[in-house]
Amino acid sequence: MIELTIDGQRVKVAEGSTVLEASRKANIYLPTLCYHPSLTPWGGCRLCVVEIEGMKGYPTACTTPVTNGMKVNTRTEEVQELRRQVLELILSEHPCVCLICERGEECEKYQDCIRKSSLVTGCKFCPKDKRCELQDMCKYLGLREISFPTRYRGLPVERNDPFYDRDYNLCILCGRCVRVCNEVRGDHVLSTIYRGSESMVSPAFHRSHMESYCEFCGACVDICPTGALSERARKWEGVADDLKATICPLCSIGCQINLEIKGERVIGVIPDPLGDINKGQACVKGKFAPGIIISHKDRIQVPFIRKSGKLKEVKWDEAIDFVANELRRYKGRKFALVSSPYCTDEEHYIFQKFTERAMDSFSFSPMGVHQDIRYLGNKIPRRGSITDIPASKSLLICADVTTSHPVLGVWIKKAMDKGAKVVLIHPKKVPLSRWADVFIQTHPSTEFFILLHIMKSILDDENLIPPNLPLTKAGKGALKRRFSEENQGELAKIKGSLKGSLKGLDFNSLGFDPDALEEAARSLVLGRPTAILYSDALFQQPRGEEVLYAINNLSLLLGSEVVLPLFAEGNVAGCLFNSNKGEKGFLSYTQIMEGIQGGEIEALYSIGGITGHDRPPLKFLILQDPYYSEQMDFADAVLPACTFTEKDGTLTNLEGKAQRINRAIEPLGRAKPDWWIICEIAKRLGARGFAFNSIEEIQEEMALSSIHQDQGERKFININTEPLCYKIGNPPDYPLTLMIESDSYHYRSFSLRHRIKGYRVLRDPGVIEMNPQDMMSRDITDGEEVDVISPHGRIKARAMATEKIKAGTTSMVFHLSHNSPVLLVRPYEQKLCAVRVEKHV
Amino acid sequence: MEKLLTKNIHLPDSHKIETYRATGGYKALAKALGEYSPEDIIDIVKRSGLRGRGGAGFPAGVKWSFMPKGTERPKYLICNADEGEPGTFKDRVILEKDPHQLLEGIIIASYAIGAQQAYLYIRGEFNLAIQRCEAAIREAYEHNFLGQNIMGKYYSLDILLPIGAGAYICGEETSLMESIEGKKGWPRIRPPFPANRGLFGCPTTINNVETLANVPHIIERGVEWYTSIGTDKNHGPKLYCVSGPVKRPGVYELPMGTPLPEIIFDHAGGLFEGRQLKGVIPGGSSTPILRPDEIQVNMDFDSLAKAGTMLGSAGIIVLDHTMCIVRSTLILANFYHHESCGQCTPCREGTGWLENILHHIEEGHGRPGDTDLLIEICDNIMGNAICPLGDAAAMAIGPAVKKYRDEFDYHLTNKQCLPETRK
Repeated sequence: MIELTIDGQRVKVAEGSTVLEASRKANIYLPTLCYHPSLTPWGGCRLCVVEIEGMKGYPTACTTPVTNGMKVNTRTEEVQELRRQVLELILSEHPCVCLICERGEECEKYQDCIRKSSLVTGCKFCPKDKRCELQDMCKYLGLREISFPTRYRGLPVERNDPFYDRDYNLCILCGRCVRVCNEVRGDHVLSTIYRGSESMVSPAFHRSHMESYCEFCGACVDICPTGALSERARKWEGVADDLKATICPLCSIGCQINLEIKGERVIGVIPDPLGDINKGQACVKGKFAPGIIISHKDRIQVPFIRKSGKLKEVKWDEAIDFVANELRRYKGRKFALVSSPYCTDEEHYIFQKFTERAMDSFSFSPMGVHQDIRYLGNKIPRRGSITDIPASKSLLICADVTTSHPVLGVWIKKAMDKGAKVVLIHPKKVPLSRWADVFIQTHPSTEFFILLHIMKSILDDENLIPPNLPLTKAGKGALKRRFSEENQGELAKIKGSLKGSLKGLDFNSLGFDPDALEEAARSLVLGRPTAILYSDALFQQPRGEEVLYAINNLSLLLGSEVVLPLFAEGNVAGCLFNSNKGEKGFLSYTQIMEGIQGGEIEALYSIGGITGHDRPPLKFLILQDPYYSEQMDFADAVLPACTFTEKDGTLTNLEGKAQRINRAIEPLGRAKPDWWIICEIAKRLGARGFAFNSIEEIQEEMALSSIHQDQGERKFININTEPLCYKIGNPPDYPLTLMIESDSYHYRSFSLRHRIKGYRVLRDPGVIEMNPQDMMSRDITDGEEVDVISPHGRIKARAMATEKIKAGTTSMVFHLSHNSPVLLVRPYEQKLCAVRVEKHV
Repeated sequence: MEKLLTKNIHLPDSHKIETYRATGGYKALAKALGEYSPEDIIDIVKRSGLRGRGGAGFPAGVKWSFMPKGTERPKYLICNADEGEPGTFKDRVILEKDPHQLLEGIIIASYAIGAQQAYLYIRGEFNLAIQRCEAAIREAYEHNFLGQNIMGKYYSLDILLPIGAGAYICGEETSLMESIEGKKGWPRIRPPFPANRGLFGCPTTINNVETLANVPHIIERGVEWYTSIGTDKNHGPKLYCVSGPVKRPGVYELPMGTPLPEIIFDHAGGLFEGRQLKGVIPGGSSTPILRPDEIQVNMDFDSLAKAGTMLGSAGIIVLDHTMCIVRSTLILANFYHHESCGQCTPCREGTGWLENILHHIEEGHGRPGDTDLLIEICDNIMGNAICPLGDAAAMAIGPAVKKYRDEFDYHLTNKQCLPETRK
């Protein structure tokens, strides 16, 4: 500990602290602009200057380390004067007339200035008014006039990239955005270009953000002390009345976010700086979407029922009576319920109970979840937590993680900064591939063989450890022992089964570079601990179950303590781990859909949404969703559900951690929580055990029931395959493989990419990505309309040429709107299918 | 005085290793590697009192002794050849005419601090110097003065020659390191100091060209001889650059502490006919100007500090009575504004406003109170910027305004220059 005196006050702080940290600890305020606790000190703004006895000049508190017996004065008249002068210099190029306007107080009261203006010339015209740190500084230092004549930089406001505007006329060059982009996000998009007073924040060489691999995470917007960076959607919303903590449901990480509430609206999101998982970070989804989607014009606000062929707005009582009366006729096998992976754990419990108890059915499935996988539940390898990732020395990633789970990218890049090797296996050149040490571009669905092959390389350890490797004798011994002592019996089995699985496989035909595979195996074995992150698309494909076994075995071989399944949607884990204890077992989504086609299922309660432009052959269809969708045209009842901001509950993230979401605002219109609606219907049906008044009561009952999470045993699973007969290659009529990339850019049935322009700019959902070779051979030009045809269906799309995918592979994003690629696949939950692409006629 | 640093420059092919060796070159290196341990060399340089010639005048031996001992991290020596100070052109002479003298100094210094990799960071505009240094390094490798086991001894050294891209700020030691690392030339926060965390985060010593060129002479001829040159605490030969309206502008090698009038009037031949002295900037543009009545001063670190200015890089800029002081100050302000890196507020905004205000005064649009504002901005920048560039701007402009206040006020009231300075 170091002891020093600040303004006569004795302070004890840890060695290596700065004077600023010490004074914050002692509750002594120091003005700062460029300092931010999550960034390395920079010393640029010079507002935190102090006097230190024995040091010449005025050192900056943020960069000066403390020493024993140091005497610091933070508030002498000289220091304050110096700060005032520095602030004057900062303001000399910042439009600040309002700051020193003599009619400021009046303006405050009567708002006599017009607030919306195309040009920010003062605080009253600035989106950051009252949230601006410069204003705080002026107040603290009592700045009343500025000696310099006004100078306006006259730069055009940059509005060409999605989600936020950049007005560098307001920039004070504190460098916080640049540092957060480089140090925290590891993206290195922003830098300071030019020199001196012409300095500007911009991607290198003044390229656009899109070109510079910006992921639009919004960290720069959050950290900007002025109005230079402003979120377009909340630009003129002003100061929030309140902040409400909740969990972002837009992917399965479960980032802690604070919703900015104004009146009864969510105007924006501030990621929680104290969040365990996200540490103040958010992503393009969590930062910008909630404010837009919660009060979107497409919200359903009242219940509708179909009367004499037309949807009619009704009161809840009437709607529930209607639904209950109808449902009475479809008890048993005629009824099915499809839930949404965005609903809470408690709601899944209620859905399941409703299906079983109120409807005597077992046709319950979360949207898009494969039954096999549900039974696998505990067999989905899952260990460790996200925060352990940076301690890894190597990472095996089978996912487009920076698109689907962008905040994980922060942790991955942190590990990479510390020297971790990244092995990326993905069919597409994704943003992370430019950082990866080994990138193996697969043919979709061949990940399985790659995993097996890596295992094989590891087991043939003699070849793996090159003689010139800087490994001690003990290290080599330990490596050998690991394979010989541990899991001896199973190891023999696994070796045997590996041989079986790989036998007859012409590995060369898969077109992998054997050296890359060796290199991958070497990186993973030598860089331990290893973290394994894999996308759920990996097991939503033929042989999905075996892929899980392969990952399980590989993780045991490598001794990985961090194995995370990257479920796309917010609460898939909650569905899988909380609701699969049905006594009779449940039908999968595909089985339900097939049951509908076959006529066995006559009534469907759709919470998660269904696809298709035509009414399925159903006698009764209930849609329960917060948003309008095209399926409303043929639904018999439409019930308005709440979004995650309007209800309580828990979401289970991919680590298996249940986190609480909190009701932050009143439901829009007459929308109700999903659990409430279901309970009311159940009560009307005369079922017992649905008299819940709050989420806590449901939680109590859940605690009593047998639902609990366990992470399964850690043992090798014999991959019980016959000698391999899986053929790689498509039927001749459907020569291309379509990957459906499920990266959760939607909430319930609301597709962000369809309804919000910014997300469409990042990736158009109506586009099928194709390799230029495939396009040329079909005489398709870039941007042309094409038909995508599979044995099960046909959709329209626009072709886009990209070198990111291999020839023979095409890619679309998952969504449920018009021309959904889901229409092409059977079973529905699979993420791969064979297609052919033709010019649209 | 016997010429030391410039003794070879008038010889034909003075930049070639044959010429250098013919005049006794690389003997000091043999002596250093053969007779002395690295500690001995640091001690000798310490006792010689060699002070850094880059501007700050910090004792070189003391700087070397800051390098941590017994660390496993690699150590680096950087020679700062990014000579960009207006009015200074002394290093260029060594780089172009006698690069081997510098290389010998670099090798000895690297040996002393235990560096096995040295960098010669050279200003990008010095085309000839770059060619000559490249050739000299090649020759030194060929003669085994560089590379593995130098002169058969158990010491190896490699030199790289990074070339600057035209930024004055990269002459500042920490920006220079950023530049070598391939980053934007922005100064770093100190502490940590380069001796602890310098280039690539490793212990680094950085010396000026002239400083290192002095080292072989000290090793060869000993401390007593070296300390006999110059004045108390300011030893050795010094290269003075004289520019401005003098008859013989150029680089002069004289003992440390030579009186300023002697340099201007004797060595440089005095002013052009009919001109009167108006002022002298004694140590490169960044040092406070001296009025004619202040020039009776010895050109060494301590005497000039006593006179309220600095030896700096010893770039003597002479101004005569036809030079408008507002214009000359504006030229300097323009330079510092253009070269400010933009990292810290006082320098980024302050230099801009200095230029802006001076421009207005010079154009006849000055407002009353502008002179005070200039002084206020300079006071604000002084000691309050991350690196010395801000201080340099403040020292170049503040004293000029204070000492020639009459002339500034004349501009403010009459909206034009003094009659004798009008063009």
